[in-house]
Amino acid sequence: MNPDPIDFESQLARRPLRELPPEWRDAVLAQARAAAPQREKAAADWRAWLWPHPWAWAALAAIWLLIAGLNVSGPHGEALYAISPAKGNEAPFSPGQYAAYLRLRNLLLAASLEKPVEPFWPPRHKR
Amino acid sequence: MPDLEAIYDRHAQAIFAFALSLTRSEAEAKDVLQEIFCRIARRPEILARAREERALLLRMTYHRIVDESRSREARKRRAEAAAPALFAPAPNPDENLFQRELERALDGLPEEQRAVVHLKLWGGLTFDAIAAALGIPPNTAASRYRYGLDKLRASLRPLYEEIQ
Repeated sequence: MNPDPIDFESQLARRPLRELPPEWRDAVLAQARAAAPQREKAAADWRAWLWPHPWAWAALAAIWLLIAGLNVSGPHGEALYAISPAKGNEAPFSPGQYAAYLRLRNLLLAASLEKPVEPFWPPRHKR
Repeated sequence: MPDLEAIYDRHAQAIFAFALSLTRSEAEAKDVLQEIFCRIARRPEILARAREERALLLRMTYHRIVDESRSREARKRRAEAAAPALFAPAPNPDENLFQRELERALDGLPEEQRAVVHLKLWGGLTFDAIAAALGIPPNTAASRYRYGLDKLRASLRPLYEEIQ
């Protein structure tokens, strides 16, 4: 006698399949993650590296924001360039001030050595 | 990156059972499972475009096994290794015996019939879904199932009648 086709099918379908070994899960997923594109992996690595000290990174970010804020609030653009060249073009001393500075320096040097010092500038030739 | 854990929890059992049924090797089934997940991790858009995740994954599994079975090395490995159990152990010795005979009968089916029988009986897929998974017309899936089931019935009839 042939088995009833429907009954036979249901008898077969009722057989429970073997379970997937649970210990495979971590290994399979770890290897799959390792195979992920580098961009994704790099992002995950950054996250893993930053995560242990979130407060330190938050503080650093706050400092950077503060610096950026100060930078934005100060002179910038044309204003920044308008100030710098004018100051740069100015000589730090006038010729008279510089000559006085040299005289003073020679006097101090002479006093410290207690002997006459040759003048710094060679004497002017008389014409 | 796709949520690999969730995908694993949803589909790994089905991929494993299908791969084990076709390869009859636990090591190969694991290799297949691993490769499927590595491919998803490398190219997440594969799953993002799929309408039926399960069908796509089973299709990837099937193609991977068919490609691999063409290699001589795989055939040699399968011939040498003792086939692992396909079904969970049953409490009744008669049922266990029937399951061993069923595994033997399944092993005797051509690969394409075994794939359809597995997906219909234990994957719970319709012929349309099987056709989509294996890349064949639904009529072909139905006829392969019929032929496969006839062969199983012929192989198992004496034992089946005995345990009824």
